[in-house]
Amino acid sequence: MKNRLKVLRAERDWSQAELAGRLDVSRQAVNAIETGKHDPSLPLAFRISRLFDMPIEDIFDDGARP
Amino acid sequence: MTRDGTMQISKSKSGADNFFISHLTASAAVIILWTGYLNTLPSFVAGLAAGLVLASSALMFLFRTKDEYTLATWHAGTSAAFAASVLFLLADAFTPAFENLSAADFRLGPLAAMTAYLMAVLIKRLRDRA
Repeated sequence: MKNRLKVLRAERDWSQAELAGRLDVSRQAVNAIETGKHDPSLPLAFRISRLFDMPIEDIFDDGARP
Repeated sequence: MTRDGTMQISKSKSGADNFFISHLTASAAVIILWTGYLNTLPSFVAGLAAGLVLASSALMFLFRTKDEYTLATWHAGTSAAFAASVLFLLADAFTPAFENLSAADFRLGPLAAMTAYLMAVLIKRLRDRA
């Protein structure tokens, strides 16, 4: 699944470790999500959404939207 | 993150680090066990390696749920170990070469399953890093 996590993180000048700390996940998890190799669970997707104050569908793109 | 802006080490971070350190330890111990299977090693070295594999496996089991990514890597590893176990049982049942195996050779089954687990975790980590 494509996502804008890396861009949103860069906009805030956060490191992967800093974002991981804010989301209470490991840095490896943030890296895997950013590269699209790991899809976050629904609770983590909601935490990401709240952290960036954006709807989930503006961060993650499953390719189904026209 | 604390109020003064300093980074606090989360349970997820330390749990994931412990999981991956245990993975490295188990990998080194399994290499020693394979060396012991193919050649001869002093029994205390083989015993120490088996103990390390057991301890590392227990730690990986305990830390697997600390972070959802470690849980995903755990699942990748256990799927591979399951497949290796099934293949070993099938080979045992249907391959004539397995008929004359000694009791000691049957250590190969758990060792193959453990190797498959560790390899799958390593491959997933390397693939996800790119």
